[in-house]
Amino acid sequence: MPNYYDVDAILAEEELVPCSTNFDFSYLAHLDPDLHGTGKHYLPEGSRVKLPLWALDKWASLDFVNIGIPRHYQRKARERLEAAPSEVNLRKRNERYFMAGRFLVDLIETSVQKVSKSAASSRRDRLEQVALEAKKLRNTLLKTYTGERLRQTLDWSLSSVGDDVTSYTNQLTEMERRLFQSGAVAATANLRWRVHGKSRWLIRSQTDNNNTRPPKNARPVTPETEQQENDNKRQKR
Amino acid sequence: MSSRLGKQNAIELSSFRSAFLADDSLVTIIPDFDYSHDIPLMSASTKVGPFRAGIPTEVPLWFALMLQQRSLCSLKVLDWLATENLTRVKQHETTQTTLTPTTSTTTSTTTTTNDSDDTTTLPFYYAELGQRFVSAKSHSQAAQAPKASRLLLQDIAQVRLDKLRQQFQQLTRQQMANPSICVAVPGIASAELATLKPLITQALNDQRFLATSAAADAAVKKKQPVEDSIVESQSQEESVSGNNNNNTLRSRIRRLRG
Repeated sequence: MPNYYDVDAILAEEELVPCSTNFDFSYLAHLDPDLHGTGKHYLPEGSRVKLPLWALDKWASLDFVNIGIPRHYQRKARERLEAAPSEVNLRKRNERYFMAGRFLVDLIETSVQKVSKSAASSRRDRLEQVALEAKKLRNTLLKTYTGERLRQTLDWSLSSVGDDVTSYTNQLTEMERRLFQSGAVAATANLRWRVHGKSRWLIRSQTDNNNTRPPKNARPVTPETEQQENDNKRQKR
Repeated sequence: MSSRLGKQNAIELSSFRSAFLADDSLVTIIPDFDYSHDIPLMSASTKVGPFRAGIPTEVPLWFALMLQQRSLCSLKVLDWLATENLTRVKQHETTQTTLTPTTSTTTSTTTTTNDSDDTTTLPFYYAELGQRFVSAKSHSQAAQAPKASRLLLQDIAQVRLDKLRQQFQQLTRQQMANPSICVAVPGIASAELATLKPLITQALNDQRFLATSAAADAAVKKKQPVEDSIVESQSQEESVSGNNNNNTLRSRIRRLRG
């Protein structure tokens, strides 16, 4: 889990992960929606609940729960992703697909490492399987991110200056959108320099979209002396 | 969030900033005045030498433009903007897969190099300087490059950008599993750098983020020197996978036994 204040990381850790409890949890029945009607206060052993990543961090390493992998990171979804990387709409599954995937993989690997040291052999096999799935997930994430999607993002960002590209960016996750934006801003800046760079001053009003500067006719707090006014008039000419 | 906005503002002005830095390149002028002392610019080490009317002198471009505005000198046309030179460069670009090497124009160019006659080089700021000297209407009367140079410059810029894009795409096909990539782009120029750098550095950072594990990250943070950390993270990853292999082997042996 990286930078504590990183907003993207916080939102990515909201990813719900299915897990099953290893023993009864007292007074936590509200976590399982199936138990709402019954009068039970405790969460029985082996019940499957979905919890976000940030909640599972400590429980997984203390061996309170067994972590599973969410459906859109499992084998079928991965194979579909590897087959056609640029057509899959990853934003629909999770806006921060890659970040959440990586945090999930980290969580599984660290918890499996800690738990395997003192676990029965049968459990260890199951943990190994989960860890292997996690490793494959990491490879898939890396390959998808740096493959066709990256090439397409590069091409689109550099060549579509001034066009409406929402049809393309609607399919991109947050990380890819950040990439697209840096490329597009740089390309736009280059075009703006090529068109306007020959004039002597950068035309400030075109970049000031939020009216952050005071209007031209505003009177300054301390009035300029006559000498300064004459100098300014000469410079503006 | 604010750092992201700050970075975006930096990217928005990157082309203008590189144009500003390009004005530091040395050009030859023919001054119309005499001044027998050195003029220090900004620091004592960089100075513009004594001027004698009619003798060509080398000064930074911003100084030359300032003098020209006050009608104190006339700029000589940059020799790399000549049509023959640019056609040669364009030939090189379209036939070779590597970029034409770029040279720095902020140091004095009066020293001769020992290269063979066949070297074609471009200045690092060729796009910025080209734009300043080649324009549709000549607002600064002298020192305009020929009209043909404008089209040649545009063609050269286009070809180079395409080459860089293809090179990056090839990189994404080959090297992406490696968490410590070092990309060498010899001969890249300032305009292409300003356009491509934000996206490529962000992409490589993200690739590193996805390729490393948390254990490797923790190991990296403990060790300060960069080379050690890269070696450490790689060895850490190998040792983790090594442990997994041993565990599966042991469990398989146990199952075989009984």
